[in-house]
Amino acid sequence: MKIFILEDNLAISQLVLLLLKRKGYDAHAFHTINSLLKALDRTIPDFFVLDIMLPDGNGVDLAKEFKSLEMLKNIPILMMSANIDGVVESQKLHKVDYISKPFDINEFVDRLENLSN
Amino acid sequence: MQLDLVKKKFELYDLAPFYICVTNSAGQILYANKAVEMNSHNGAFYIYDCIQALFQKSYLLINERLREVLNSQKTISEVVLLLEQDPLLSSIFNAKQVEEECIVFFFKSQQEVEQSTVQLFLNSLVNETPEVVICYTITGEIVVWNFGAEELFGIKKNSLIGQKITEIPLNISILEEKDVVSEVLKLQQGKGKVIEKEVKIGEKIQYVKITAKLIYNEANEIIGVSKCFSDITPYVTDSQLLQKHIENLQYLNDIWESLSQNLDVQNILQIVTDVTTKFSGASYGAFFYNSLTEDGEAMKLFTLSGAKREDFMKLGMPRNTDIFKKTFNSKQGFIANDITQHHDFGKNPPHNGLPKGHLPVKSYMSIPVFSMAGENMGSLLFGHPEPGKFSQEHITMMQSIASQAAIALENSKLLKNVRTLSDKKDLFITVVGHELRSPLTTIKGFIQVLREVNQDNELCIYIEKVLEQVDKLNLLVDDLLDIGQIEAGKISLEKSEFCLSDLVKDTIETVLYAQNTHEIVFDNREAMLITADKRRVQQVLYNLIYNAVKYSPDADKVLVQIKSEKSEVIVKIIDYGIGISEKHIHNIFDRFYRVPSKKNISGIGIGLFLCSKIIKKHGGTLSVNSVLDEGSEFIFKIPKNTFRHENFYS
Repeated sequence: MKIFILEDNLAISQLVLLLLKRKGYDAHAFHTINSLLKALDRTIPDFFVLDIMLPDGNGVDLAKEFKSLEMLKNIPILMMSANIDGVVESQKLHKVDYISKPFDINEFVDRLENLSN
Repeated sequence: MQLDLVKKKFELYDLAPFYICVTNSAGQILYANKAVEMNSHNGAFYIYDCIQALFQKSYLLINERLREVLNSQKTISEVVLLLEQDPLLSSIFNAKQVEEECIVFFFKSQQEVEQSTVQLFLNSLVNETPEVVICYTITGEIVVWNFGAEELFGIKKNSLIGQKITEIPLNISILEEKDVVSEVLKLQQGKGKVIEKEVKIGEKIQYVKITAKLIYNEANEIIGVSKCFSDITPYVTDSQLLQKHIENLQYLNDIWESLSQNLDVQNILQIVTDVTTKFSGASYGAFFYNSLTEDGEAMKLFTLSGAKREDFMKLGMPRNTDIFKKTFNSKQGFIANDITQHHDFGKNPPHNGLPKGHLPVKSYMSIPVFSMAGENMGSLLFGHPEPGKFSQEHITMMQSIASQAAIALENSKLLKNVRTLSDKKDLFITVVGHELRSPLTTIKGFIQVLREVNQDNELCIYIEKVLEQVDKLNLLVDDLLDIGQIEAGKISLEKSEFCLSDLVKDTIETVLYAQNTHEIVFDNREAMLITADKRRVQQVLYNLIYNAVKYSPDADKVLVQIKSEKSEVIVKIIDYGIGISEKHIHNIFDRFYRVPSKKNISGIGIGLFLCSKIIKKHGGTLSVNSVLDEGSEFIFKIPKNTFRHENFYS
């Protein structure tokens, strides 16, 4: 399973990469919305892990945008945030879940796997 | 004159209540009435006795006086004979030469003299008093019409002879009723009457107090009415003035209150402008307030009263003319009866006077507004199209308002600073909270990874310790972020139905996991379902139970009790710890408040603040009973179904 991670904090993105790679996933990390969108031109992943506060935008808005696109709307999204604001709303979207930082790594993987099945 | 003739002529006076005695020109008594007879010193005299025979003493003196009378061809009046112990003659007599050979002596006793003197004084008093006194009979005939009445009504007494009160044309109606009889009846019921009346005399408004009384004769029959008109204009105007001052004070008091409650600069300026304009009697007023823009540039805010803002906006800010220098730089107020006549007026181009379109100004007044520190905060300006409208008194009054305004403006400045600081601090807390989350996430994540890959048993213990501390740190960050949310009114509850006893049990376990020093006694085994935000209620329980453990270092037990009432649940957390003194107990639910304590117990003072906010948000209450050095009891009550009770405003 190909997973795209969007997280501007290097240490967290490294942690998530490590967790997912250890579970055998094909995980790729991006630090800006822009770089993620560029990558989407070439490859469509099977799963998104999105941070919310990003240097060039908001993860919730991005998730909404993905859900409005035919090509991406069925791809599950796991949102990660330190702040609950606005996340509740995104949870109503199709195949979107939320995990608050700091998280338990096992819970993170559980949520991700639940959502992808 | 023949004795018989005299006798006949004076017979009429035989029984008169006064003394009368007639002599011939030689002073021999021809007639004396009974009164004389009864009071002469030996009780008897004879016809042709000399008149001296009537007197007991001081013949010489009397003789002299009598001789004067007898020798005089004219009427002698009021000869005073001061003779003691002589009722008849310790008196005055009038002697009148009625016919050539006959002299009539009228004697008056001392009492009579006194009475007539009193009468004289009374007459004089009534006539000369500035009060207006009139009396009339019940048939309306005017009896007394004093000088005051002549002045007030403009009618001389002489011209009123024979006229009835109802017949004279008057500028003030004297009768309160349609006729004297109805008035008498009315007065009789009320035993007299006092009324106050506003009357217009010429161009002047005067206030008179009319005191009306009935006049009785000796037989207690009503014979007339007396009326006294007093001019109470000074009294009334004084009391009106006083009333006005009281109203002003009341008004000022209201202003102080509204100023002290008002912390918005623009509002304060407007209130002050409105009030001062009203008080000064100006047709319009303005308040120019020295303020700084966001960039620290000087500017003047201004408010207007009695004029449209547009009228002044187009004129621009007051320039540095000679007049405005006085206005904005003077330490005292400045008044011009007619500013257009002032020597500084009209000297500065381009307008050389009032700019075109300026409302007309003659009377001009400016009051500087100073801060407590003596800094010029701005000026109040007043204008009136007519000259001479402002006085020194206005300056004093306006200055007192201005000084209050200065305090309010300073408070508003302080508040703004405090608010900015408080906002900055809230922002700081939120930012710090968020910034802490990322490293915490990484630390926790990598340590967990480390735990998974670790084979070393000893290292495993250390890893657990680190994770434990990371979780603790995380809880602190949660609390910090919660504060930011609560302050911003953002806290929202995610409600579900759950069992409170189970939640208490879980929470106790969590607390014991963190600090296993006390026995936490909880006996309730029954299910108790409530609908609330489970995570938030647990946060409250955790905080209260953890506090109970934390603040009872020398005890070994904490009690947790829950009770179900009709529509609410009551939770009690009891400890036997250090307790809270009365002095501090009121503050413990305040944000960042920590009870000063000798025991060095860590914490940042947000737990109870959050608890109370969360409980309130659920529509419940959190309270505390505590005795210093004995322990505390925290009690919270929340409705079983908080959906119905959520307090949206807390």
